[in-house]
Amino acid sequence: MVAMRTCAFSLVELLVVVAIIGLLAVLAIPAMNNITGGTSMTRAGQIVADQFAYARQEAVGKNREVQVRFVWRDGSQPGYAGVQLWAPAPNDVTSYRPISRISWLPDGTVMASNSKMSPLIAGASIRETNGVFPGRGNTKYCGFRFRPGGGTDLGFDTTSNFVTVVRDRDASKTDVPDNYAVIQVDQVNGRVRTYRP
Amino acid sequence: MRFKWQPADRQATHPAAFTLLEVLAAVTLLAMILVMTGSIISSSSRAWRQANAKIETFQDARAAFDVMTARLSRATLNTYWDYYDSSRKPFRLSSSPSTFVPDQYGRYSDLHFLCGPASSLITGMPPGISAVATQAIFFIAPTGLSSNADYSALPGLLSACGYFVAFGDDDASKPGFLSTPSRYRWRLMELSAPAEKLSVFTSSSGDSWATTPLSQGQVRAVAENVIALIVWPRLSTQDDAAGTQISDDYTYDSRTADAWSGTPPRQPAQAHQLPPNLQLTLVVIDEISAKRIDKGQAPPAEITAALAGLFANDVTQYASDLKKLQDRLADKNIGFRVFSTTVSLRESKWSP
Repeated sequence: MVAMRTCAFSLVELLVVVAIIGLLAVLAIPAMNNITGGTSMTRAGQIVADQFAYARQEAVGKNREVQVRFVWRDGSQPGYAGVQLWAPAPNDVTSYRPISRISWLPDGTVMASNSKMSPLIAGASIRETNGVFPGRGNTKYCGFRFRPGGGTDLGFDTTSNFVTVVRDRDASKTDVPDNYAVIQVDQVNGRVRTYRP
Repeated sequence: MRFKWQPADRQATHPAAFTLLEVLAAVTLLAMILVMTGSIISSSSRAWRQANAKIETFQDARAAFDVMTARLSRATLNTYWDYYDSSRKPFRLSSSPSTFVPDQYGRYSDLHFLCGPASSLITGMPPGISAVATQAIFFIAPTGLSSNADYSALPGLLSACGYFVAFGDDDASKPGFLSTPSRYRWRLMELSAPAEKLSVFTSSSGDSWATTPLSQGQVRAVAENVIALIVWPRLSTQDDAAGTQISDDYTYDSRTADAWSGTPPRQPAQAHQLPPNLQLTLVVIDEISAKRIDKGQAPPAEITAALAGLFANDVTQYASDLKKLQDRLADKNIGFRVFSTTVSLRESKWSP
């Protein structure tokens, strides 16, 4: 009887261990959430910056105008969450065609569309309109253009040529959230910069 | 119940369990393993970040170099032939007297091209800029750049352009709502004034068309961590191996004040014409080093010391100056890269 009692865990001991594991998990999950949120925000910023840089390279390298289109995503938090590049077809400069797939931001992130956080979207040179996107049908979009010289058709004031990626629950707020990625484009030389808090 | 390895005599007093010593040893071992994996992960992630930062800095600089060479190659002067009188004043100026007596033919241009030491060309610093280094270049090119949307369909509009290397903050270009601290770096800056502000036609002398928009802050950063820009106007290497025929001190001014010389009198070579080639050199340091030597508002002493006395006024010293700069940066353990190319100016019709 003595041997049996000392060689096994009692129910109370097991319960204590399970409780400790549970406590640790409860503490760790928000931290994990923070980390995954941070990496998806970084990734979202990179996706937008990469698309801008690619558009600039296409415009300079192929000597043609390239449109950067921000594509609307419906869902739990609707907003502009995709980027696609469009350029004139080689044999017909009046018809624009996509030259890349739509790059969607990671789930949980979206581009803010108010004029404080994303003046580039609020005052976009391609105004908000509807267009047919291959594989998606009629979708709302807006955007701007890269010129063949590497510059853009945006306003002359660099400080207002940027988009901000935020978590989707911050999408409609105008005060600065604690996690965001700002992607700025220089309208003259097309230089792309990313700011993270 | 009893394990085989337990000594029989201890069974009664010592039931099967870990001793304190065993638990301590296990915990210590676990901690050691954790610390080791942690340090491996952190060092590898640091290495990855550093490599990434290095690549990004140089990518930025390379893209900027492409923009710069593309724009420079379109520099224009629109030179034409004009009468000059015996005091070497051109005819087609509003100040020409009605008694103008032509004496010679000569080149003339209403536009201007100049390069030389940044510290002497840039008299009024743009806001946020506290120091300039090495050389600067100012020219006029058909950029079509305009702040007025009505002019956006005129891609040939002339505007004032220029490049120089400057130290300062990034407050003027930072997105509106950001409150991140100012970032003080050496940067390759671009003068890009809108076409409707081009004032080169208002005066036939001086360089206020470039220095005025510059001091008003019509500049933008093209690349970060660029510490030196060397502009060397020269003939092609086949025609001029030493590179001293056009300019022996890196300076070039198409509105030169040099006198005509010889019989028959000839204009100074630099007057109202573009140099055929520009040899451009950029020295870029990596972001890791820049962060390490960052002193806030004051330009880092390491860079100032590394550039001291180099590329001043003797093009024949170019190679040895560049070698010195590389040695000094390497001494200070600063990672760097040198970009160099020769740009042909398309509009240049050089005649000596």
